Amino acid sequence: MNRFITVDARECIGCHACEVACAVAHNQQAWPEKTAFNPRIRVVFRGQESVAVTCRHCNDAPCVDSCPVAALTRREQEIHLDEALCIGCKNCVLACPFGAIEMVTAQQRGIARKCDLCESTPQGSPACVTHCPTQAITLMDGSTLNALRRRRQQATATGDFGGTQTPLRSHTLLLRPERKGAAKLPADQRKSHFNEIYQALDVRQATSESERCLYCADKAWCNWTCPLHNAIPDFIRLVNQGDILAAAELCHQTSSLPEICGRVCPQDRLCEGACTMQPRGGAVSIGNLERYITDSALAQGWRPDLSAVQPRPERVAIVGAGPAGLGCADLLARSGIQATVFDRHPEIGGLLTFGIPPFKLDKQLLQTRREIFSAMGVRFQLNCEIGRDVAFDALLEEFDAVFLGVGTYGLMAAGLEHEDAPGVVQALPFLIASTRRVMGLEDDPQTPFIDVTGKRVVVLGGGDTAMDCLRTSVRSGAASVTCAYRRDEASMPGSKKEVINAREEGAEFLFNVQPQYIALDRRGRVKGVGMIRTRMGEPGPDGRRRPQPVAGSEFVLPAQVLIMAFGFQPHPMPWLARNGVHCDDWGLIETDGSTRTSHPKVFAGGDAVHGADLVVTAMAAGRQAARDIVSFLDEQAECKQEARR
Amino acid sequence: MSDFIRVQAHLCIGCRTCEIACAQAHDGETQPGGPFYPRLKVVKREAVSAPVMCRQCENAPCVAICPTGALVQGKRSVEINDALCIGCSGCVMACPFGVIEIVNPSGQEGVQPVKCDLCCGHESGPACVAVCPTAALEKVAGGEVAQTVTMRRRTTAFPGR
Repeated sequence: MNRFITVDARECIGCHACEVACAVAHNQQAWPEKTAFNPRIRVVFRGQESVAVTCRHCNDAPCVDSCPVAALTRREQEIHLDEALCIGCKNCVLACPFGAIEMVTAQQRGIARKCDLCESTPQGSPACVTHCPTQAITLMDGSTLNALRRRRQQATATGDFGGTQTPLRSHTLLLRPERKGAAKLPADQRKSHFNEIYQALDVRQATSESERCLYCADKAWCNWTCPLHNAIPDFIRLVNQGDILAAAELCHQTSSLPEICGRVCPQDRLCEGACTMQPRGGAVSIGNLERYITDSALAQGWRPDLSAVQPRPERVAIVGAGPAGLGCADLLARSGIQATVFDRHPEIGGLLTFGIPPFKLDKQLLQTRREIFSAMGVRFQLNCEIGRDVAFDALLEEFDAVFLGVGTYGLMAAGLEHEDAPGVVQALPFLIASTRRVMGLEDDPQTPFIDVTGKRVVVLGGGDTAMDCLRTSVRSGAASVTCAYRRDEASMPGSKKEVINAREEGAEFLFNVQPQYIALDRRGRVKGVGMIRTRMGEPGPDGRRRPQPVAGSEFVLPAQVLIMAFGFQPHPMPWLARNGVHCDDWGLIETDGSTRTSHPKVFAGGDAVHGADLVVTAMAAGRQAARDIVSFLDEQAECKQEARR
Repeated sequence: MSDFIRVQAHLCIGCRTCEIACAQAHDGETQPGGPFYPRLKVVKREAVSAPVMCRQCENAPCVAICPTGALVQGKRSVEINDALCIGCSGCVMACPFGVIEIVNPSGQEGVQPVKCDLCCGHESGPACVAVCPTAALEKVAGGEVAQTVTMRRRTTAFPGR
């Protein structure tokens, strides 16, 4: 009689803890790469119901009969798959009636994969069983199966099926109040200033929010989904125990700017979107708690403790003080390496400081962070542009390694006539100029301030940057603010909560409209934008449906200021190619799959490598670069020692 | 994932029309007594008849053993490059399904591996699939396998509904 994994559908809460446990157990307890997440157990959903499905280890398994190379064999108490023998013929996949065998790519080979009852892991016993928070998953064998039958036979004989059954563990576990989350200032109040709109949690609120966390597992679906794999269940547990300093310490192990991620991450798409409680009264307010932990710890005087760090002789230059550069500098400092960060702006943060408006992120935070990083030994050279104030060659000569976290500052043109007319402005310069005024910095001629007071503002685009422009215009006293987006509302790429906030603050939305031309008045200033209505057509290569223009639906949308928010693309950096750092056809820096570029001493990460993306993905790339740089410097040091011998 | 041809043996009546269609599709009109190299073979036993042909394995042993790159793991099939074949018979030995042959077509120089190429040059798709009178053959796209797995898993999770 084979052993097998069985799942009690009534107890499954769809938390994915089994999938994560399986993937981690088969990867030496480490997080797998995003693209190599191939758990041997899968949770299947239908509405609110969920059940995990995996191999049944059939006693007369059809997969074994179908295998031409004996990769699948009957062993004592299990069906064994020897991946080394698999030729990827897919016979077993077609033979299995449960869909429990999958084709995966491992070491560049297409092979079949299925549950091995964790016999190949050091633990040896099934990880899904150990980690299921409701004990919905159990390992059965001949004797447990017989015991079950005997229990049922006895119940049948006595007629006592346990009428008053004990309540389900899943029901008890899921009994939690509804999400409250952080309070938001009322819209008419926040429209008049640039202060943050979300209020901090107090101790009582934080405790009650933390009580909603189920602690699905230490490695749960939320921290798998987080690009930094923050230890979310554990830091929430520490909040619940009132140990803020330990929680802050834990947050800083995986993140360089937790209080900032807590504010600007699109949690609804990441950790909170993955929360088991999400469809059950709302996700745990992970973002608010993350902000609460670091804000409170810093206010109590907590600072990162680097006293145990052994200083190293190497020095690394970091180009760009955005989230990628800061992530890299943070980890380098924690490895004892001297990091010097160069940035052309007068404050650290990059787009965090100048691209994200102050009502989403208080600029004081970056100043505090600069002080913390400086105390950790990171040096900052601000107002210093590589290629203008300092030559890139000089960095290569002076430092042991260079990290490029330069972001993407190139602007996407819409390809419309008169895009350079007065009154037409790109989103990023508009936001930078506005933020500089709020921060009390003087105007920068490269990003001239645009006064929208009393004007009709139209923003083209539907992402988070478009929402920032809308809400900045509202606060700057525009007469009317309209967003024009070529797809429907459901297709908007950004965070839903930003759309809600913009709408609350009085922004108007026009969906399914596509700009065709920019209309000018007699003095050559913009007076409107010619639009055509669209309907959603067939999906394009990216899977998103393409908007199709509707003939005869043209109209002119009046506008005195037209803001183009179509996203970012790489900006030209001729000094890269001159020094042997290759870029691809789009201008993105080429790496070897890690963060190494074509120049042995140069590493790169963040938007400049993977294209415009989130703060948190940039930070994750910067931190990865720091790890790669440390191993590069270790190799160099070893080589030097070899040479001396 | 590779595409492949799926055979439903219980539908096969052993008429060998697929063999003829295959040979014609690849080598043109066949002459009686002339070369006849169908890429699939109808096997007839007492209880069953069924065409057998290359499974387009994802981790194909024929590709692994080929020393010259005459057989390569393509995106949608195991691809053949005739010109590189040296006729070492490694692939014939390696294939657990017995569906590769090395032939020396008369009137031509050199040898070439012969196995199902899913009629990749033909817009209308595999000739065997088109010609089978009982629809016992079916071309399956690689992506459909994942869909089948998902569907079966769903039925396993929520049976009968």
